[in-house]
Amino acid sequence: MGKVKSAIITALLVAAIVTLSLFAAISCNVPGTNGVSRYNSFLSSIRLGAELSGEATTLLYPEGVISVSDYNLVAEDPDNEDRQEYKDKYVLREGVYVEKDKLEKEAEFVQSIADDAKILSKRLGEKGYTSYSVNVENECKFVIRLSVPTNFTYAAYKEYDASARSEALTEISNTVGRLILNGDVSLRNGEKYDSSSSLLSIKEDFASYFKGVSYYAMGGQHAVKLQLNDEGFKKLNTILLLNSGDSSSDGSSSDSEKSAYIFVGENNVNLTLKMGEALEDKTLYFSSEKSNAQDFAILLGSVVGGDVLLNSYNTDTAGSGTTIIAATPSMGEYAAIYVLAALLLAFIAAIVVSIVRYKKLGLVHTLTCAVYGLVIILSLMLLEITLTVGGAFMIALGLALITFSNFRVFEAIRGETQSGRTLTASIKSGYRKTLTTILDLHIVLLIASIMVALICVGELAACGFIIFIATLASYVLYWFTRFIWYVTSSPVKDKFAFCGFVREVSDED
Amino acid sequence: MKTNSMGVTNLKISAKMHLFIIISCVIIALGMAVGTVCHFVSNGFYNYSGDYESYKSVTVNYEDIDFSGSGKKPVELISDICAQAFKNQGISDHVVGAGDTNTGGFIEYKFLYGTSDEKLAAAVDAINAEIKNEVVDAGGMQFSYASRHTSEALLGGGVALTRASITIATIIVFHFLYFVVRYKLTMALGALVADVHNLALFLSLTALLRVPTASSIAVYAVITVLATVVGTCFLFDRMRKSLKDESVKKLAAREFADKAANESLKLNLIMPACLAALSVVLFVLLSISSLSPLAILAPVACALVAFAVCAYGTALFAPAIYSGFKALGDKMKSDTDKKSK
Repeated sequence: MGKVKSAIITALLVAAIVTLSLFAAISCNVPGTNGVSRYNSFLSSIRLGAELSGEATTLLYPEGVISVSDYNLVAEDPDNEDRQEYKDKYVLREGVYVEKDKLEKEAEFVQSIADDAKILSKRLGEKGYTSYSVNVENECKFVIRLSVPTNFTYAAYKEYDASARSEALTEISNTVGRLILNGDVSLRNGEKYDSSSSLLSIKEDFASYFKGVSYYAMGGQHAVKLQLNDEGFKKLNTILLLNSGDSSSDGSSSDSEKSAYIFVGENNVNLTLKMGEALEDKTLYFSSEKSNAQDFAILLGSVVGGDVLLNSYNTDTAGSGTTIIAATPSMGEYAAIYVLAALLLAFIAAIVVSIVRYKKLGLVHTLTCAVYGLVIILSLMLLEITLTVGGAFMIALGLALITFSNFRVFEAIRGETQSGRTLTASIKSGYRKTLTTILDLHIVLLIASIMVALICVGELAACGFIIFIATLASYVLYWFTRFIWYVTSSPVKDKFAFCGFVREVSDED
Repeated sequence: MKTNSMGVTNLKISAKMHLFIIISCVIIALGMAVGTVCHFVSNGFYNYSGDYESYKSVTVNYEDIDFSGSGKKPVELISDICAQAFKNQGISDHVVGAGDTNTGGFIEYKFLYGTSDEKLAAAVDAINAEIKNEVVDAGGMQFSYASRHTSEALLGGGVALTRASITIATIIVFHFLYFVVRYKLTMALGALVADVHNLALFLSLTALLRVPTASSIAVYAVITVLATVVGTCFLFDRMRKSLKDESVKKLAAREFADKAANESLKLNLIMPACLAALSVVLFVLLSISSLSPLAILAPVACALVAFAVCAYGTALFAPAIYSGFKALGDKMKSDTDKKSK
């Protein structure tokens, strides 16, 4: 390769890496918008785990239990009509107001709340949060405390992107709102519970109708996948064909008159079936928005599996959705920045060691490390993988893999040059000799990372994805190093000096 | 450490096989014993955090209150007051979280389940008294700010732990099978023992040292296994290559294992050492901002234990054990050859 060609390729590559690095690292206000629009860097668009972006917490009050503030809102208001009713109905117990009826069977009621908390814990586990907790407090056994990670991006966490923060909290609020739905599965002929009648009510005999429920995604489409067994298929077909002329009494639209709606308890879960049309397949797909589909799949799966909540739950501000309070991360306000700084130090250390050991060849390794960093940042951002401290260690493990793969091949080539070969022959021979090692290492690690990503949930699944990407990147970059080496060293006269190698000059030379 | 002219160490690792086995067995047995005792008398086999185990907490709520007199942010003022109150009672918090609502906020301190109720109650009283002193507008004063709670464990991480256990078992089996196909049976056995040993040592050391594991235990157990996979690949690849050299192939099992172990020793020590150094850097940096040192100690201490175990297990224990397997394999082979002759 000629000098010019080498210089152009090197310059283009460096320019591309520098440009991408700028986009990856620097957030700024978009010029000419007076700070209204802001560009958020790739780094600040990565979703962060609970320890780096905080937790969202909510208190769940079962039906028959209200918070002191909710009670005071009515009971302390002299103009409120329900004031006396509240005073007669509720009694202060363990810091909350509980209906007197519920306290008649207090032990049973408390046990039902504890059982519900276990079911909620399972549902949150299925959701795949990197960490979460569901607790019933000893001092107040009538309330469930639920915490999930906010998974803010850094931009949302620092409120550079205010809408992203509120959107993330709204999504958590909606998810919690959906996962705390109780009751049995029923098929009804109207959109509203009160004004519709039941076509099919399944209480404990779930297994006689359903094989299972799962979340399904393909090509950007998200759906709840409901699998019926033979009996469920026949029963549902009979209902849909027999009730095609039915209409609900709520005066709903003609579309709703021809549809059947799936309810969990008294809640319409927005999954509909066409009346008058026989089902063709035992597997039903209800297309929905991603989060909706995931949540309803978890909820229906839980209900179909027999995990029905025994109580209905509200948060402390009844009627205003699920109240979520976002807490700062336990590792501190700037934990994400410090994790980034530690990783940056690891990258710098790898680069410095390579330059000290291999002189200009170390710069080739520097380019490899930079590309690895960019691949990881882009993958985390685009695939919406949550970064935790464990994930940061996986990134470091990937960096170690790349560094040691490169050092291994550099050492093998150094060994070849010491035996008197030319550099081109040494590179060929060095790569050939290390290929089996590198291949075996990457295959084992790649398959192990796939196992972690697919079998594990939450933080570990995210770590699995990270190490999968890191391993894949490491293998590709192993060959990329060879290409860059070839490009950058081509015009150099003394290639051995370029690499910091010493050649044993033989008589044949 | 003695090295030859090529910079390769000359350690007699295989000769110390029994010593390594004894050290590992003692640590594992001690870890199991301490974990079991703590399971019955303390907070569990591991030093779990709130997401896995019951915990006590103190929550400070402040709404519509003017703390401007101190010149500090409310969260800073309250955390200073709380830190002093807990220090006076000689109790250390486990995890701290702070939240902001539209009208104020809250700070929650979590404590291990065994923390004394009396001490917590005394700290709560002190916090309430101290906060009342700092309120500027007496009209906005609350009756109390801090309150005590005890939360029951629901094993929120149960699913994660189960799945992680299945994954680790699958990875170990796959690692063994891959080595059986691509390397030799004795090497596959060495890798299998290294995986199981490192995992057992990691789990025992975390129980023995009472490292506050939080949800990290599953993550770092997986990291331990993955780092071991990388280390054994380097080690046994060196051995596989040595087998191609006729002069090395003829060496006795111990000498053969020592040669390969010494050649890959640097690599197998440097990689975990670099990752351990990263843990220390992370700990130092996070200490600057964290509200609770124990919150950052959990992942960082787990990482340190994991990488230390990997360094010892892969660089020293695995080649020593392999030499035993190889000696056994060679003996069986020679016996078979004799019989066939």
